[in-house]
Amino acid sequence: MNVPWFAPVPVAREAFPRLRRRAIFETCKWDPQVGDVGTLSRWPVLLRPEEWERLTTWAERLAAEAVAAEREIVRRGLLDGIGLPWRIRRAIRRLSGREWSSRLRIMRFDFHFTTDGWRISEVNSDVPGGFNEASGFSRLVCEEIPGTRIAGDPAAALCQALEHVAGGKTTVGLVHATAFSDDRQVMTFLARELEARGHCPVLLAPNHLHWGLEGARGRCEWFDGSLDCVLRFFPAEWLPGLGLFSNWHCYFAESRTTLCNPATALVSQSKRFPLLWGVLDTPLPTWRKLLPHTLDPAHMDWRDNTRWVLKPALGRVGDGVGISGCISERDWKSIRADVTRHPEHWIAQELFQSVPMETPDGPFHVCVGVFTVNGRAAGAYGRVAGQPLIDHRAADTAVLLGDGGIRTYSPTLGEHHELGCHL
Amino acid sequence: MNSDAIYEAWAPAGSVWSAWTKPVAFADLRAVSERDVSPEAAQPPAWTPPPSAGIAVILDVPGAHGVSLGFALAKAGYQCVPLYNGVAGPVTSAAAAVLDVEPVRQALASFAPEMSRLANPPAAPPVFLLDSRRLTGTGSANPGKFDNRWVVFPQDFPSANFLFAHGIRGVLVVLPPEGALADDLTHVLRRWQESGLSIRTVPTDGTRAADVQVPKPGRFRSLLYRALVLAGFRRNSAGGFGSLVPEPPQSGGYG
Repeated sequence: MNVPWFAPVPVAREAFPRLRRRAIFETCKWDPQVGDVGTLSRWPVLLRPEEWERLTTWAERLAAEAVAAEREIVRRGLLDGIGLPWRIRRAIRRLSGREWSSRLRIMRFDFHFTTDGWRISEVNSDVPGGFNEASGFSRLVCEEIPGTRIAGDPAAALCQALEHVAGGKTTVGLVHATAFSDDRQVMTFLARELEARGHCPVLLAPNHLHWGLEGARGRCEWFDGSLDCVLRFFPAEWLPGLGLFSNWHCYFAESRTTLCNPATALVSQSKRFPLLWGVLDTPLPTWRKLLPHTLDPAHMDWRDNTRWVLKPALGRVGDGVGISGCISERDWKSIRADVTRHPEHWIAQELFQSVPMETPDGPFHVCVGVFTVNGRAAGAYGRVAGQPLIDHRAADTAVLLGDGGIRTYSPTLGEHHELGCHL
Repeated sequence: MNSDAIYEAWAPAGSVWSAWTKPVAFADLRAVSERDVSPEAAQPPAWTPPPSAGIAVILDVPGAHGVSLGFALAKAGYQCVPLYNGVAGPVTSAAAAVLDVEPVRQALASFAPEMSRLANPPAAPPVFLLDSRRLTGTGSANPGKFDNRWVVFPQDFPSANFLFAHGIRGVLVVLPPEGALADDLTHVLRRWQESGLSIRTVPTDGTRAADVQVPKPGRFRSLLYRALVLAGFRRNSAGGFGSLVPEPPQSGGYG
């Protein structure tokens, strides 16, 4: 089978510890270890350029279709059955029949190469992560493997799009769960990027926002001022937890403050989004082509675990995903019990057979996360795992493109020499 | 020393345990003037197991005390593994943080030059450093504050298998006097104990050392434990782990 990547070329083993430290201090990669597993891989995915073209074309179409579908769903109030909490549905229903815009949208589509070609497992359309890896770590790896280039820079693309929308320098509230260093690292990285471009980033918790006719205002002990933009890295389904008087529903509608992303993104973030396609006027040909068949477990027999993957409607990072053989028997039993009790919170998706990337360190199953910023492809980062389930135990890796002969340093030869395939 | 060098001092490349060192406390860390190491800081406490005993130590004590105690154990042949995961507060207003992490950061910077001169073997047993105030903070968690409290998860530590493979047979948890095992830490210890590691606790003053049977915590081994922790927000702690931290003083206890 023709695979979409070149023969793998790793970062030299001797160079990797230094690269890891650079990732920590230059790209704010503060979670380089999870359990016994290092989260940074020295094996980048070296995509063939024509495959990258294919992925970017698809990602842009997927983004356009998703936004169009979201608008129709919100306009028509078709919110039942996609696994959203009732408070969220109520907040979105307030927008029904109204025109609303979304000036700044970022998404990340997770592609997998399978025995049936490329497929997507999901879109991260609410709070896509991976900026540190796509814009930062990828650049560091690229320096170690001459003859390659990064696939894009989503952090820079986000800043550019923000400047285009705002018409200049802005005050940006970076809203996140402040206690969680994994989120903080993303916000700190983006804050540095924004600051370097002359913007004023402010790191805030979601309860530090106050909403009025003028838009959002940040108010806390270190900042009191209006915000031109809110970059939200706080999952939308957590917003009701802010409480009755926090005006959390303001995260759902565009205001004078640009929201990225507006919390209505939860509509396409839900894994049950495909269950509405049958009643939509919006055509979704790219979604139908690339997303495996997705069904409501309440209306089918999902117990054939050789055929179906079970996914929580609002699951993230692969957590809670049930793939037989990839999780413990105990976890599998727990998932099946919850699907039986609460099928409305789950989907069953047809299992695809991932084609791994073969390396001397063993086969790695690959997920290529392609970013779009306002519908334009903006870069990618990869995740690799020794099993088909890409979850929090997977390692992050660079997605690079070849640019001439791919070369790597050989300690044996004492020089760079060419490996892998030429373009 | 810059941040990178300070980190390297506490997480030397050759150590088996360095990979688990949390980078957060070292981010944007500036060198402080090298301070004199006090005699107390240089002496390991009487309860310190010999490095050959195959015991991993967890120091779950307040703030910078853990750093100086860790340094003392490092001089006795242990490898420190700082697990401080509380982010620093706003640069313009450090006092706005619910958990004051600056003393820990300063201590890490202060001891770094001495740490870098120790030459413990790569397989020296680990001493994990935690801040026992991580769940409660050092200040009020009022609205407007920067909530940087944090919790530990099992995946912040090596697995029991890894510990066994590197000669560790038991764990000694050092607590403040009158302290108790923190709820988040019991998730870690229970897993280790179920895998066959012995668990012992001792207060820093060395009294009442005891073998313990770690109680089974709530949501133990739940597939979604990590997600549930992160999702357990309360109105007064929207940036933090509301389900595991006390309510404001008027209600007390864990929510």
